[in-house]
Amino acid sequence: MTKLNANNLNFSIEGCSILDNVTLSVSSGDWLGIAGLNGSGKSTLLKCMAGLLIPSSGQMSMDGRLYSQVNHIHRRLSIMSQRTDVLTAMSVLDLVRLGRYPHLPAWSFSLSTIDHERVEYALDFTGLNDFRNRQVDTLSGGERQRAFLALSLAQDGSVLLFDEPTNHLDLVAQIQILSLLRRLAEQGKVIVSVLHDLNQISKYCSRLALLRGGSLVAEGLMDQVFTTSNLKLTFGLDIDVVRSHDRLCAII
Amino acid sequence: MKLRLKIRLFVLFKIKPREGVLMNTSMRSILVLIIIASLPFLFLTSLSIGDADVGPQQVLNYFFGEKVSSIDRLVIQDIRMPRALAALLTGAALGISGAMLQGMLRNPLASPFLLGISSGAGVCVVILFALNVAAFWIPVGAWFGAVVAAGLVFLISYQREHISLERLILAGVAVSSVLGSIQAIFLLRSDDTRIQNSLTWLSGTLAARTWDDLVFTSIPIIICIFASLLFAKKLNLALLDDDTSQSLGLSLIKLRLMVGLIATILTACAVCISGLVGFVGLVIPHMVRLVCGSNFMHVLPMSGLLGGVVLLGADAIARTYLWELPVGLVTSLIGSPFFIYLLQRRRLRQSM
Repeated sequence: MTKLNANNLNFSIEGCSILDNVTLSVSSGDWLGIAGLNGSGKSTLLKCMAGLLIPSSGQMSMDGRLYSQVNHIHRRLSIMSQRTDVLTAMSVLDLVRLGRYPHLPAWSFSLSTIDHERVEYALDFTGLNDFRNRQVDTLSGGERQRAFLALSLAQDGSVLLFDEPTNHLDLVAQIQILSLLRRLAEQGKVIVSVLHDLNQISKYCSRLALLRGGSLVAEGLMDQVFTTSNLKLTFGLDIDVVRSHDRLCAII
Repeated sequence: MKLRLKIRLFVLFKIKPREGVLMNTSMRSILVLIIIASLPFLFLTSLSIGDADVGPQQVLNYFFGEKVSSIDRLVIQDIRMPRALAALLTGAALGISGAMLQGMLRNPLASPFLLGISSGAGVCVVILFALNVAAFWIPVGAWFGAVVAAGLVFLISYQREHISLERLILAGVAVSSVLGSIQAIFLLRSDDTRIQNSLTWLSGTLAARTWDDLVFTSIPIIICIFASLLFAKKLNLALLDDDTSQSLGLSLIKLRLMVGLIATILTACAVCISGLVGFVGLVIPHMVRLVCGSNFMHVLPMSGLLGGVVLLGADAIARTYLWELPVGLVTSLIGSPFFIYLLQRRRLRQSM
């Protein structure tokens, strides 16, 4: 059981406030979606949650301990950024193996049996077994995204963060990635993702945080947050929310 | 239509579709073995070439403890051997620092001379030639200039506990251009012989190296070669984007400072020995990646090995002409066409 808390996060750069008093929490089995307009602070919030940015004030904590006090935080938390490119030609297998880096002893040069098992599991889970010797730069967008998901999985953390995981993917590849993430949430991982498609959010996520201008419009369970009034406050658009086949749909 | 033709060809000739793999494993290991085997061969060849009438027979006699005349022994031991070792050390240092910097800067065009090292060393040496100081001070000045210029570049690019790659590269270009113009001013004011001396040094030369040239530079080079291997794993992570590599526990600022430090020491020592030998540091890591893939555990040692081998070979070629060419010109003459070939090849791959 893992629980992630953000307490009164503020982030500003050169006097310009990007996050304003954001407080939220998410725990094992939850999939938190973050939505909002461009520039509303979604990526900044995600990077703060990943520990990549230090908030100007407020704290991030995992299981009640501040990030700075968590042992081996890189073994417990991973982020998949929007940019999934690698500098040189690299095979999928080599890429996924990089995910074991936080688990390697400081000066060791080879992977242990456990490391290999985790890499195999990650390749298996993402369906990339047959692609292991392919170079990453020859993969299609969806395959590449899955390769980076496998990298995150090999890292073996209990918290996985994703910045627009379906960006630039065709419909089938989007559903593939989202279904994999749902399986991970069902396994008890904490999933946090920035997403743009409201219907995908309502279908896959269990919790939702809506951001506008760096502050939270609403945060909580999907049923309570995904309402016409909240969406109007967030996007400034009139969006009907209807229930169909036991799920919420947004009609824009 | 095109696709169907391709499929038919595959069926006809049982060609396996290219999966983006540059080279298969057995071909790779054969190439690696060839490179390793060529080292002793080139070393002996290099000892057998020169003005004095000392050929392969005498060299073999020397190594197998048979009788060699004292003059031949002098030629082999004190004239040709330091020169061959100088080529090996310089090539290895430039190859490894080039590979490290290309990884750290995420830029395939990076070379050991990108961060102001060449212009820093160059300006000091040209000034020293102009002042007509003793030859002993030339390598000292080169080392000093290289380290100061690289330090300056890192200082300029450091901002809010962060070093951005763009700033680092741009600072390198700016510092190089300032120092380059100072160097040009001093060159223009010098007389002919000094200009010739300066130009030879600036092109990179291994002529008349003695054991004294290697004493102070070989130890730091060897230490840095081993130190570079400790950063191979981290350099592999740096192939990913900033966010992913940091979330895997990589400290970018530490990596950039340490790689910068090691690469600077390697390059400064290489420059001390042989002047500005171009293209080894740029092209060798590319050749190695074509053969061994992108894993720095293999790229770093192989870049060192291939760098040494290539410079040894280039120096042998440089010496076989009627008058002696600076070795740096030979590497550039061979290196540039190869680089063009690489660019063409990449275009082919992209269009496929």
